[in-house]
Amino acid sequence: MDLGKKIIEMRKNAKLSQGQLAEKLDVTRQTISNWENGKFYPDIDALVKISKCFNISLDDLLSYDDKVLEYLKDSTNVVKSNKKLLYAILLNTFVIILFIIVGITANESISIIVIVFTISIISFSYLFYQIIKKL
Amino acid sequence: MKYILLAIFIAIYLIGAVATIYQIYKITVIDSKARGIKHPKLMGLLATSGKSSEGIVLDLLHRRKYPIKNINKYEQNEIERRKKIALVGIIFMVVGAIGFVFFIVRI
Repeated sequence: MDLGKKIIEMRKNAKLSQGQLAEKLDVTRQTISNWENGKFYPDIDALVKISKCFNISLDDLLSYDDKVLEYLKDSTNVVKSNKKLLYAILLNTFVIILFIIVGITANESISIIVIVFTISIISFSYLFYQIIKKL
Repeated sequence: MKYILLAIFIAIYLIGAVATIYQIYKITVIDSKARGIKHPKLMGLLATSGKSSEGIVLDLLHRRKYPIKNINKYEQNEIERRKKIALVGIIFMVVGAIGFVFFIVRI
């Protein structure tokens, strides 16, 4: 049985309408409808609320649907993306320091300045993309 | 000929910049609607403001108070698709900017 059907079953057993359940879980009625129809899955915050509302353990709730587990794994894997963002920030800090050093030392060496410029453009763009990925 | 090349690099940069900014705007609007934030279009404009992505950082800080409440698979896919287009836009910006720097040095 998938999670949507389980939610319908638990809601009907508790004699609640979609609107009443939505009010209890602090979401819209449309959200409940989408969960029940399997259009999208509840996030971890909503799953905790559902488990409390129907007095069922999270373990039991998640054991109904492997796809929900996969979805949660993907949506909660923030460590990896945060690491990339941190690396991008460190890289940019290093490039700024490099920029200052080159500015002081390489007075006439245009080629070195161009190389540092190019590196800084690439590193800033990488940081920019990592920030966009967080959106 | 020299200035045509310069114009091409500037055009590549501008196309990339406009495409990226537009994608950021659209992503922020979809995300703000999903989180139930008031005035999602204004949030989109805010996210696109700033020289060094300060707007996005402000939006990321502001939206922490609003968890996602209502987003469907279509909107999630749309956000991912727009992030990929933004990456292409950034690549255009990089090519344009590097080309511009090399051109200035050659002059």
